[in-house]
Amino acid sequence: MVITFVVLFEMNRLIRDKIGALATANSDSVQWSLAQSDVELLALQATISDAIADPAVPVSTVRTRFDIFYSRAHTLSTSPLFDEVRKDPEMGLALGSIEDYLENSVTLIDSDDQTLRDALPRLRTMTSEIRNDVRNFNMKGVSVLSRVSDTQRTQTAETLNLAAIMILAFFFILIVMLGLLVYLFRRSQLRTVEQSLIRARLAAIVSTSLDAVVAVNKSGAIIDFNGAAEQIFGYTREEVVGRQMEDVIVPDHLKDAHRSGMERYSTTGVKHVIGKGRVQLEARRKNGEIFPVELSIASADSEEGEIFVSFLRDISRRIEAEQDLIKARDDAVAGEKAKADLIAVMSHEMRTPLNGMLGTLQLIDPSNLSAKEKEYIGIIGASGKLLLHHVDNVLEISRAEAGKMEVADTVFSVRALISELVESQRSVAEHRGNTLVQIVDTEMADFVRGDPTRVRQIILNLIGNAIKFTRNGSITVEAKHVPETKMVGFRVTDTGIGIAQEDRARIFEEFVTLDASYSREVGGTGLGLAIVKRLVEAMGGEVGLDSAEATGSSFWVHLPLPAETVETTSLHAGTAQSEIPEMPKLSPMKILVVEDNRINRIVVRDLLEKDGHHVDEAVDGEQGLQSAQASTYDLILMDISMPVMDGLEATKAIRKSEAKGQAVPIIALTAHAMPAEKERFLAAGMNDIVTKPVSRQKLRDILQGISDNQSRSADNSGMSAPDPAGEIIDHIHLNELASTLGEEKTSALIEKFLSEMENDVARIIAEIDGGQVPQDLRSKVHHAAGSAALLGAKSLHATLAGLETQLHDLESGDTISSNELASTWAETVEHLEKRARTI
Amino acid sequence: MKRLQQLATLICACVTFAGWSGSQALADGLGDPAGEIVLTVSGDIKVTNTDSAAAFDMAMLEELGATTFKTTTIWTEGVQTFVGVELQGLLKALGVDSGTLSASAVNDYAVEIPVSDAVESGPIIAFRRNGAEMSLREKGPLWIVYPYDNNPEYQSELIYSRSIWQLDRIEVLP
Repeated sequence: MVITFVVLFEMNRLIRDKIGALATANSDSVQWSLAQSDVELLALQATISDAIADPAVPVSTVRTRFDIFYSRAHTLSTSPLFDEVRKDPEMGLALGSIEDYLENSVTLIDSDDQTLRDALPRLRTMTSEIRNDVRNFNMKGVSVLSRVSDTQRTQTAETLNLAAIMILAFFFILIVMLGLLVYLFRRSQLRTVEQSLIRARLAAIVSTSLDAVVAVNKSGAIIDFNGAAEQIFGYTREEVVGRQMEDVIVPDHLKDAHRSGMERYSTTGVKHVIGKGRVQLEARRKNGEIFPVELSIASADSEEGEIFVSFLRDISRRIEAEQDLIKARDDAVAGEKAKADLIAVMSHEMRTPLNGMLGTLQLIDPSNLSAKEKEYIGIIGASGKLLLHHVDNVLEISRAEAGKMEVADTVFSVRALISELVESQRSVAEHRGNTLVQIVDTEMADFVRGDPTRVRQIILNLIGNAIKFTRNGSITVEAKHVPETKMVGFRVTDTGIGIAQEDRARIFEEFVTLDASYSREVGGTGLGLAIVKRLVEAMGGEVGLDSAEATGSSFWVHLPLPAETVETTSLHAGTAQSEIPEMPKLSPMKILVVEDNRINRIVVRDLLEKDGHHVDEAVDGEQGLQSAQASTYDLILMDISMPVMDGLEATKAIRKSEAKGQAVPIIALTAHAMPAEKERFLAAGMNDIVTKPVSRQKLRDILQGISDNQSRSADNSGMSAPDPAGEIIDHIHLNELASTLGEEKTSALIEKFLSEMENDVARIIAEIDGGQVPQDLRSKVHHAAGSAALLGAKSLHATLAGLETQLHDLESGDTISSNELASTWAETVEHLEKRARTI
Repeated sequence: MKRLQQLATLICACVTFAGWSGSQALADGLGDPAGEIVLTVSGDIKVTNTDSAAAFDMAMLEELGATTFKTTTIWTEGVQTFVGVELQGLLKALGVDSGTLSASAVNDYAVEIPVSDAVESGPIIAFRRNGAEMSLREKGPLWIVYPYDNNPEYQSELIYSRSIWQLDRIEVLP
């Protein structure tokens, strides 16, 4: 294009020059001049002739005519007009003879009049002689000039042609440019339409977006606010456009972060939130409500410079729903756990009266009974034991559910264990017409290391199962060493009804009993195999089943029981477990039993005396009080409902009469202890509550707790405040917990309790001290109180319960103190940690 | 403002006076030709020194004021220096301010020149070329010459045709 223009410009210049050249005439009417020379020569001739003919004619007229011709001829030979003509050689010659003529004749002309008059005839001749030359010059000149003007015409034509071409070129370029212009115009028009469409579409998107769209400029002022934003934030667009975003929707606690973020971006260009996808933050509505939002910010360029477009979604509903969901899940889990707890507690509670029953049976002296009575007592004993067995199974499962199963590590003989088991079960097997055979591999090591109790439980379960499902068949118990896996393999095979293929997978699940009719005959909770599986897994082994329906079942168990060669270790193989495990012998105690029911009193007394304790009795509260004041006891067992003075009154009176720091442990004996009543008993000064009926084990546990407590407080008397009566920690409760859960788990529980409670208590104290009492504080306190009660943190529980009551009755303006809680918590921590250490 | 008005009035007065006194002076100063008459102006003129004509000899023409310029011409070789009286000056002296001049030469060549051609720095009636008076052979004694080189407008055939040499008569047509 530029080149085209340069070329065109150049051409234009050329044409202008040419036209300029045409405009400036450089020629006179040359032909006329040429012709005139002829005319003037003729005039000269005529004048000469006149002067010759008539002497009256003055010669000066000849001179004038001559001079005129001279002037003309001189012009022909000097004027640039005739350059072209003169170049012609013929013309040159002609001109030469004219000049010669002039030169020759001028002397005649310039002579005096007479001389000239005399010379006139000669002059006439000379003049006639050049007539042809002048004529030729003229003729030739005309043709040369025609040629010149032809050339000029051609040049002009060429120039005009060039001009025409240029005009055409210009026209073409103009057409092209017009086309280009039209194209560009159409395109920009199209783009305008497109852009307006896009704009309209964008506007539609923004205005119909369910998310709030808020656009701000670089200085933070709102420049756009869509319909959803109006709904979410409660402002109208007109209200907020032009205002600072931080003044409108940013909550106070986020203003600093917002401001510093904007500042950082404008100075350093570092983006934290912009273009980083979704971020959860909080925003503020017009009514001041702060609500959670999901936010994403993008930056964009606009006519007004960089702008920020925020998409905000009100997620308060979602958060609420999430929280509801979490709560529902927690509730469900809690419900599940409560159910499991209930089963565990129920089983535990069932075991207690059972033990009482079985314990009482042991007190009956069989020598005084008839054969019939002995048989009845035998049946009661057998039924009780079976029931106890079921309950223990359930407990075992829930223990396994709750956490680790404890596995002992001692040396025992597999061979001895198998033969003892087979011998003990032989009569049961034979009772159903079965033979019981044992095959122990000769390669089997004499002693192995492991948990004989668990192994016995496993094999016994399998044998029991085999006997149950086999009638008039044979049951084989095998044990062998598996060298490849260094395990001991057990196998119990029967010829019973077998197990269908489809049932094999689920028989190890809990509460699975196959074939309802048969199982009714044989009975069972469906827990046996589940327990086996859990025990085997706890020991790191495997259990499986090979079975064919109608031909019997074959259960196998692989257990890692490494061979042990040391023989000095004591053996646990032949002795059967007693129903009540032996407790370390306690030193005799002096115990006061306050109980109005004679039978109860006697049972308790007999059980205690059998264990070698000294027992005093009182029939009501008043007597109890007198006895307690009269002598010192290691323990008082106090019934609640009694004539004259009930247990609570008596306890209060005893506590009142005691010297500080000399509290005798008082345990309530009650048939029914509702949680609320329990609180009341503890508040009266009792250390714990024991639910009737009382078993020997229960009594032993209580005494053990008190004994532990005494020895501990004796041990630690120099280190910290003693807790002889269990005022801070309910040791009896804790001991029971430990016997149910196992010591290891109990100490883990204590640690967990301490770490969790530390936070809770700290928060409660902070909130009380802060003067603000949020709605949920009471429920927090309640929750903490429950936890404390569970662990037997008695004083902590009492303090928290008191606090809860205070909070419940709290009126505005009332102040509550956290001092008591702080000190109680410190004591509790100290004692619980000590307790955890001693376990 | 007042001063400006006064000034304008003064200028008007001067012009009027100059015109009047000028024509008086010319009418008085045209005089009679003493030498050979080289130019006769007749026709519609206001000042005469013969019967209805104004006759000039060389001295009278020179008295009207000589102007000099250099130019090339298409009839001569090289740059020529012409000295002559401006056509404008001559016509002014004769009181001519409009019409057409019919100029004739010794050889009876005649051409019409509009009075409007007679402008300042315009054509002159040359009586000397290159420092010498011009003979009849040298297109003299009088030659109307335009300053062709100074003004491209004067480089046209029309102007060339008006450049009459061997001039001896002018008739002023209304």
